[in-house]
Amino acid sequence: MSIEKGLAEVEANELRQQPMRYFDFMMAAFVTILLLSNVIGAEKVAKVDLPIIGNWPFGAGILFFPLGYLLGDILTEVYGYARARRCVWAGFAAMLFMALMSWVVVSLPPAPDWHGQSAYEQVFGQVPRIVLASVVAFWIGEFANSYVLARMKVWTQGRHLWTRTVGSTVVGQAVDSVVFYPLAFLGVWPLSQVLAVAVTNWALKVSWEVILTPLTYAVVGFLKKAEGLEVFDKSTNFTPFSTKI
Amino acid sequence: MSPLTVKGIGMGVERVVADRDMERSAFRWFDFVMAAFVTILLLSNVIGAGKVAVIDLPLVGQWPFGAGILFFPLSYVIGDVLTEVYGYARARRVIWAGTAAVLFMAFMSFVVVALPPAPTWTNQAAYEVIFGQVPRIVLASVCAFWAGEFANAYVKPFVISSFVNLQRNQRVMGA
Repeated sequence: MSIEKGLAEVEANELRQQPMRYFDFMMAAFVTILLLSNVIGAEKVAKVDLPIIGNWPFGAGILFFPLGYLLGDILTEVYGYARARRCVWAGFAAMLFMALMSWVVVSLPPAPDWHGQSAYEQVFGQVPRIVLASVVAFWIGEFANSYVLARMKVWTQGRHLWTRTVGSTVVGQAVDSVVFYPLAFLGVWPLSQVLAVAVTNWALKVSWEVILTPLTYAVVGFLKKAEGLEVFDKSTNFTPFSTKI
Repeated sequence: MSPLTVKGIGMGVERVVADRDMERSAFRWFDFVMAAFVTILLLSNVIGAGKVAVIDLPLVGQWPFGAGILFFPLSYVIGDVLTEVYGYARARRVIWAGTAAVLFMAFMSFVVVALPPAPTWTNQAAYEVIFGQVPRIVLASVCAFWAGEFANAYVKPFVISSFVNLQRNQRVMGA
């Protein structure tokens, strides 16, 4: 596939610090999606009116949150594991800053003639346990996602992109759910509810990303053409604890 | 700007180059600085932009202030650092990334507020108060931000090339 498209096949760790046309924008997009999907709509329960079933509730967060995994896939596929890892660390720092800032803004004493304090507390007031669970789940899930994609790309010799975008998401989202729901809700919700919500959300997120596969192909195709590269992580050191490229 | 050859500007800086000479060269931290800028910009528009807080000042008493001002100016500091370290072209790239990010935020707020809430979910009113005004804040913010950042980034290179061998603190004050 890569040869037809005139892309140069390269080993990821031979790229070194080679400048990239769009990598910085992709990192910014990744951080944007991550922050917004945590701050807007994460806990809204919306409903959709299905034909036969009637009103069906769903978490509004699942609309935008999986875009972060989609971008994680695109980053690893186009730029390799090391650059995706840099984005995960940038996202990690951004989430910690978000938690700090929400806490400061909610804690500031409100002016007596300002009436938004209760709304602010409802929306931005955070339970430390849930914040911890989201940050940890994001971190582990994204690394699992990126690792699986990079390895599958080598196994499949870069063919059949959809197998690794779906495969990595199945694993990455599973790791995310297995970490997040017990860490956030075990002991607060009954075990059966933790399991039911985790499995339902995992299935919904994976399905949503499968539906978005054509978009993934379009973005990956555009970026590979712009960069002129087909990157393979054959001899990459997959440690998460590095930001070197 | 012509290539400048000033020796010994201090702080371990290797050499002074004209903006156009470093087209597409690789940087160690540029992507992280862009991410930090986008983070501050998004969060200061969505969290705290609408809150009026008070501070108890010694003689004046209770003084109201917008909670947004605590964090938003950090984006100007990062903007300064960007232009100072990486030049106008890269600062401009970051301004575009920031603009796209806040526009996406406006779109996303609109969608999330507009989704019909489940009958058992009770935070819709709070969501409307906070996220309902995000598109308007973004519009005001994008206009102000573009004017402000470009003025800031445009002034700075002139100041630097004119006073390149002055002390760093004087340069920062010039922006």
